[in-house]
Amino acid sequence: MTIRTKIALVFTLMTATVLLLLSIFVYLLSLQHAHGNFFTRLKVRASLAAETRFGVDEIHSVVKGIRERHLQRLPQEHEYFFPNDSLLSQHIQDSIPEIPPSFIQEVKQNDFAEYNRGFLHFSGIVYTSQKGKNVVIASAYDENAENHITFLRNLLMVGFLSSCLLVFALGRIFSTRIMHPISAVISKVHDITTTNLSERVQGGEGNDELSEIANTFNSMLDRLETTFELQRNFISNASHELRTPLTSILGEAEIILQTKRTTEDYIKSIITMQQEAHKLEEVTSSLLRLSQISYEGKKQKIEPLQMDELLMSIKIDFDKRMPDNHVKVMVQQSEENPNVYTLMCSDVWMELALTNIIQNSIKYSDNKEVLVTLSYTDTEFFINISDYGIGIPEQDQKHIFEPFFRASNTFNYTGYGIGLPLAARIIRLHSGKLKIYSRTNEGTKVFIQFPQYKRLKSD
Amino acid sequence: MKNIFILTQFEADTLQAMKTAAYMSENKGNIILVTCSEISDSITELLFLSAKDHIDLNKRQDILDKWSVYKAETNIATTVREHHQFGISRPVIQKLLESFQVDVVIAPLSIQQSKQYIHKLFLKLLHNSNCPLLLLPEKDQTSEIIQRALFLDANGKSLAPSLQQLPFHVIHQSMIKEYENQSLNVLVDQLRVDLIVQPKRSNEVAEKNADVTSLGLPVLTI
Repeated sequence: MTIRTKIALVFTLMTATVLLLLSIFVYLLSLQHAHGNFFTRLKVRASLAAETRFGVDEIHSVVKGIRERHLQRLPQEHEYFFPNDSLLSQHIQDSIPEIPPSFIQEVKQNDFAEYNRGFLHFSGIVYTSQKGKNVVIASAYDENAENHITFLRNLLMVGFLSSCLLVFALGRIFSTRIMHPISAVISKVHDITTTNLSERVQGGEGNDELSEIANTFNSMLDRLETTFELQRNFISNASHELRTPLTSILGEAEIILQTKRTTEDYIKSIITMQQEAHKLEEVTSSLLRLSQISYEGKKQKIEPLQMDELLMSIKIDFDKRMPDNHVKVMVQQSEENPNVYTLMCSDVWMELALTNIIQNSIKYSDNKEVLVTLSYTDTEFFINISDYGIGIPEQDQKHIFEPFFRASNTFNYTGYGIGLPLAARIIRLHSGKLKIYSRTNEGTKVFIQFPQYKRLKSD
Repeated sequence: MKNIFILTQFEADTLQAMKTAAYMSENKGNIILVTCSEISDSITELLFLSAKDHIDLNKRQDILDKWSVYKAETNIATTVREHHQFGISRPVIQKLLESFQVDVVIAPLSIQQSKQYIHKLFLKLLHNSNCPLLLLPEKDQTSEIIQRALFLDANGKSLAPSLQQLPFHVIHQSMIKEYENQSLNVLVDQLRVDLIVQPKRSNEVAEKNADVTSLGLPVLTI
C-alpha cells in the first residue's frame, strides 16, 4: 500500500470515527427527546381521562367537552381504568399483556409510571377520587416520532457514508499533493549518477520538512561531488607523480640498451636511474605516511612534548642541513607556567609536520628570512610561521590541503604536494587548527593553534 | 576583522586607510566611512540637519572614484558604506561601535592632525573605548602591506587570539630579549616591522607617545 493511500485511509478513519460518534449522539438524544415529549402528552391524557371518569359531575362534563373539542385522538389511543385493590396486577396483566410487572410495581409505589415498547407508549397514574383510589393507564402509538426518527436515522447514515467517501477522495487528493515533491525528489535522486553529480534536487523555498529533505539531499550531493572531485584529482596527480620517474627510468634504460656503450656511460645512466628511483621511493613513502596518518592516527604513541624545545631542535637540524638558512625562532617566555607549551602528541609526527611547513617557507622564499614565533594565551598556544616568499595565488588557496596539489606558481621548485596536506592532517589529529594567509609575491603566514595541556597546567 | 570604521574628512590619505582596511579584513570585510560634525545649538537648524552640508562632496567623490578603480583592479570583495555623525559623546560612540559591530577603527593622519574639536573628541573617546584603534602615519611612509607587527608591552600581557589570526605576524616584546638594549628604531629595522601594536594606556593617548609615533609606522592600540 502506498503512503498516499495510507494517509487518505487514516484521514478517512479519523473523520469517520468522529462523524459516527456525533451521529449516534444526535440520534439517541433525538429519540430520548421524542419519547419524553410523548410521555408528557400521554400523562395529560391519562389525567384528563381520570377526571372525565371519576371527577365531580360538573367538572367532568366540562373536561369531557374540552377534550372532545380540542384534543386530537392519538393513533391506537386507549385508556384503561382499574380499581387500586389487591387484584390490580391481575387485571392489568389480563387487559394489557405488553406491560411488564415492574411498571405495575412503580405505579403502586410512586403513583406514576411510564413504559414504552418501541414507539408504543404507556403512562399510568393513580387517581384518588371520592370513590377511592383508581389506576388509570393511557397508551398510544407515536407514529409522528417514528417517522421523524426513521428519517433522521436514514439522513445520518447517508450523510455519514457520503462524508466518508468525500473525505477519502479529498484525503487522496491532499496526500497526492503532499507527496508530489517527495516523488519528484525520489525520481530526481534516481536520475543522479556518478556522471551527473552536479545535478541538484529542486527543493522549495520554505522552511518545511520537504525543503529540509531537499536541502539535506543537496548538501549530501555537494559532499559526494567534492569527494569524487578530490578522488579524481588525487588519482590523476598521484599517477602523474609516480609515472614521471618511472618514465625517466624506462627511457634511460631503453636509450642505454640501444647500442653498446662505454663503462662511464653505463655508470652515468645508472646514477640517473638511481636518482629517479629515489624520487619514486620518496613519493611512495610520503603516500604511505599520508595513508597511515589518515587511517591509523590513534595508534601512535602519544607523549607530552615541549613545543619550544621541538622548535629549537628543528632549527638546530636546519642549521646542520642548510647552514645558510635564515630561520629565526622566537618564543614568548612564560615564567609563571613552564608547561604552557606542552602538547600531548606523537613527537615524530609533530616534528615531521612543523619541519614540512618551515621547509616550505624556506623553499618558496628562496632562502629569505623565515620567522617562527611561539606565543600563548590562558587557554591556547600559537605557532606563527611567516616568510617573504612567492605566496600562494588566491584561486589556489582552497586546494592547498589536497594531496599532490601544487600551486600554479611553483613550477620552478621541486616538490610533490604532499608536505602541507600531511602537516595539516597531523595538526588536526592533535586538535590543532591551521590557517594560511598568503599574498602572491609578498609572503605567506601559517597560523597554528593548539589547546593547552590542561592536566599539567593544573598541576 | 570584518567591520572596520575609518574616521575621515575625505582627505587624500583616506584612500590609503581604505586599502589598509581591505588588507586587514582579507579583502572581504565591510568598510564604514565615518564623518562627523558638531551639532548646532539652534533648534531651527536642528530641524533641517543634512550631512551633505558638512561634507566636502568633491573630495568625497574623488576618494570614492579612486576606490572604485582600485577595487576593480584588485578584484576584492570589500564593501564600503558611509555614516555621518552629528555630535559625539561617550554613550553615542559606544552605541555606534555596538550597532556596526566594529572590529577596529582606523584614523588617517589628517584626522589625527585635525584642529576641529569634534575630531579631537572623537579620537579621545575612541582611545578610551574597548575598540582597537589604528593610527596611520603620513601617506608616503605607510606600507600598504603589513607583514610584521611588534607588540610593545612591558607588562608581558599575552597576545589576544584575534590579533594572532590577523594576516600579519605579530612579534611579542618578550620574544626579543636579545635586542632589548637596542633602540626602537634599530629594532624596527632589524625585525622589518611594519606596524606597532601597543595596549591602551589610561592616561596617555597614543598619538602623544613620541617614541612610537616618531618611527613613522602605523600604531594599533588595543
